[in-house]
Amino acid sequence: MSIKVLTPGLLTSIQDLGRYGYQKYGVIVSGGMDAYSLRLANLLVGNEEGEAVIEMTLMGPSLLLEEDLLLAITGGDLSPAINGQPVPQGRPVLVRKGSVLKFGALKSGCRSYLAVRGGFDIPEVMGSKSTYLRAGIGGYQGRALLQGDILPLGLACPLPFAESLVRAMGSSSFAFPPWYVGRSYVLQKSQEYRVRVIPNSQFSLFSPDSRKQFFQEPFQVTTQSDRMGYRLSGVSLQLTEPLEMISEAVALGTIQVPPDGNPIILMADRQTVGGYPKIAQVAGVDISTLAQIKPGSKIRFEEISLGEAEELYAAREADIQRINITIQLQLAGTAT
Amino acid sequence: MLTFDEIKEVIRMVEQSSIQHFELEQENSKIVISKAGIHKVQTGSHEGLEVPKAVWAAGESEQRLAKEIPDVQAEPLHTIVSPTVGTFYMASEPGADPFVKAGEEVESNAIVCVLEAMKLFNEVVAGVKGTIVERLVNDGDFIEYGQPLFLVKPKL
Amino acid sequence: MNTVIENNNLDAKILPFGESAILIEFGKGIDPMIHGKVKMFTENLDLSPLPGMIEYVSAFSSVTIFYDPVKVRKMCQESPEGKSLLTFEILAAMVREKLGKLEHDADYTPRIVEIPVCYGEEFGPDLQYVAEYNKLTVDEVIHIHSHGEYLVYMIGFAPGFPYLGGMSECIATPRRQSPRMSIPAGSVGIAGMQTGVYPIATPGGWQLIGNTPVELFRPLDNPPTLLQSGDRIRFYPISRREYEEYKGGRS
Repeated sequence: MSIKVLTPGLLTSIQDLGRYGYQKYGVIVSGGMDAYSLRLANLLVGNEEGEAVIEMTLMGPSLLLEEDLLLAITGGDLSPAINGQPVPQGRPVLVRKGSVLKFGALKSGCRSYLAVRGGFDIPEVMGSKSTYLRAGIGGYQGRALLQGDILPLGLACPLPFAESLVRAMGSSSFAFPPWYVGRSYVLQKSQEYRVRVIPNSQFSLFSPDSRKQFFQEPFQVTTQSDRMGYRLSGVSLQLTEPLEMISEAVALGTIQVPPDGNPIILMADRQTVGGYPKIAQVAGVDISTLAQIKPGSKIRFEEISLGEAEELYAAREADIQRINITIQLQLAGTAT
Repeated sequence: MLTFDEIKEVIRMVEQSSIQHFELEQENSKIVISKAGIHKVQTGSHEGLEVPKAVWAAGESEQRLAKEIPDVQAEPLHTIVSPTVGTFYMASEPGADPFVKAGEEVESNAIVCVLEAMKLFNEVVAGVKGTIVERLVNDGDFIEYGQPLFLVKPKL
Repeated sequence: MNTVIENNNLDAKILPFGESAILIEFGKGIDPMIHGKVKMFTENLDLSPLPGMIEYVSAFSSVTIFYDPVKVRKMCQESPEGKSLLTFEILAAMVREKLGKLEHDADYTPRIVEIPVCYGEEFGPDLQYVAEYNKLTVDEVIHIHSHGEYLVYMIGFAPGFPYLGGMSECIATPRRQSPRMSIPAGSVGIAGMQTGVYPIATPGGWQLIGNTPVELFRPLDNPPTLLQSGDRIRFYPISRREYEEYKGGRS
């Protein structure tokens, strides 16, 4: 049971929901940038939501599926095709052994997620299969995927649902059911993406102009953005007076402002601590949106309260619960 | 956590599926829905509502596998009925062109609408080749299981 | 009533940090006293974590607790007023309660960790420069560096990398003008008033004075790092032969 990497794509790595509990030792969280899409992909094939998946960025890989597989693709649209035929996202897809799954042109978003039934049979390091690129641990040999890699797959009991898809497949190389997870969460192309933020307790340290401009002016996601952080350019944000900062913990979505005034939004591979002043914190539910915004795009920050952010968070979790139940229902039955 | 209405919806979804037993465990609750027993006692009433579900096989887009819905009343018009409960949408996303319009000719495997139930979208196919005569429900309506959605004039 | 007013000053500022984290500030500045409070609080968190807590990160003068707001709400449903409160407010009250109890606790006992260092040679290409900069001999630099006791204020920047306090001003040296592309794991260096050890190979601008054969980052062990916040460490010089024996003995 394995998948062979024919071409690796731009930055393709194994990620799960991240490595928690070790930040106090300086070990970063890592994990999928768009955790929402990662969870959906797993649920669609009947995995635990936090199983390891393949995360691909801007330009996807080409993969040889060496076994009959139930897989699901979510997140950004990188034009996935099996043996040259477009394959839909947001659904479980049964694929015949020997097929080639190739990702092509980026149509929307920035990152795509591929989950396979049973997950990947790779060892957990500190409780996670996520690739920690800089320390060279986790994932597949602690690095991004390369040509020729053979990814061993985990075992999972076969679903009756998948067997019914086998019957439906006939002579074609893949089959899928007539239901899917809505793509309402997938980013629609836009001139400017809205990112909701909660001002940080250090917000008041910024100059009145900077505080105003932070919400009024758009910022561009620069090409120096990566899994560690989104580096923005736009108006230069300044403190009212210079400040000696002492390093303290940072979080996913923390917007910190180095002395050059260009904000950085900290993402999955952020360090555990930072010494720059923090202007705001991206609402948890908008992190996945942000993960699908590609360099060159413009974003605009919108202020929300802590209470609103918490409600949005709870509503998103409730949504995932619902999706989980309906998918479980579908997978427990037969597709025909 | 699920609301009472959502639990009812889950029960109905199990009812209409081939699933005999469904268990759902959440952090501090467990829902068990079992059809064992009922299956043997009730032989008639639900069978009539058996609506086929389709499965798409790749490369067969022109001949997607969809069973024809038996036209019980043998009228000239075919009724497309809902295979599930859910919210009716005529288009794949807000603002997009509807899947079908009145007067449009469709193949039997054409998707005519989607029904959203608890965040999952179900595609509904025409089931017969013919011309869409009328849409019987409105965008955003909540649809019951087996509810008529479209009238189609079959093409022989 | 007890007439002795306990004043351990565990007063802390409790601030929200997004909807999934809470920041507890024990003061401002790099100060062993403030850090002692950080350590006391985190030791307590290890023993009795807050409901819904995922993990915490301790820093020089603060502790940040990461939590799942949905879990916090679920676990705190019993309180009648819990519904209208933000999860931040629920947790802040719990933190305050914890701090109130902690005031009567004794100080923590730090772990002492001794780290062997092979100073100079190819391990410490900047040792000579550090000596010249401070108008000392190389031996004097080694003597000063290996006779201090250093407090691990926090771990960060890289897995197992200690932010150390307590270095003698006599050997303080500014960072290199041009950073090195890669500093080998185990490198012991000086940057300004700080000294530190690199657990993994990274680029960096520190003045390198030696290297330790000890592994600071051990991803397969638990805990995965040699050092932890609150540890006190001492460096001791070893010869090149001892260094190689240590490395050889380990593999």
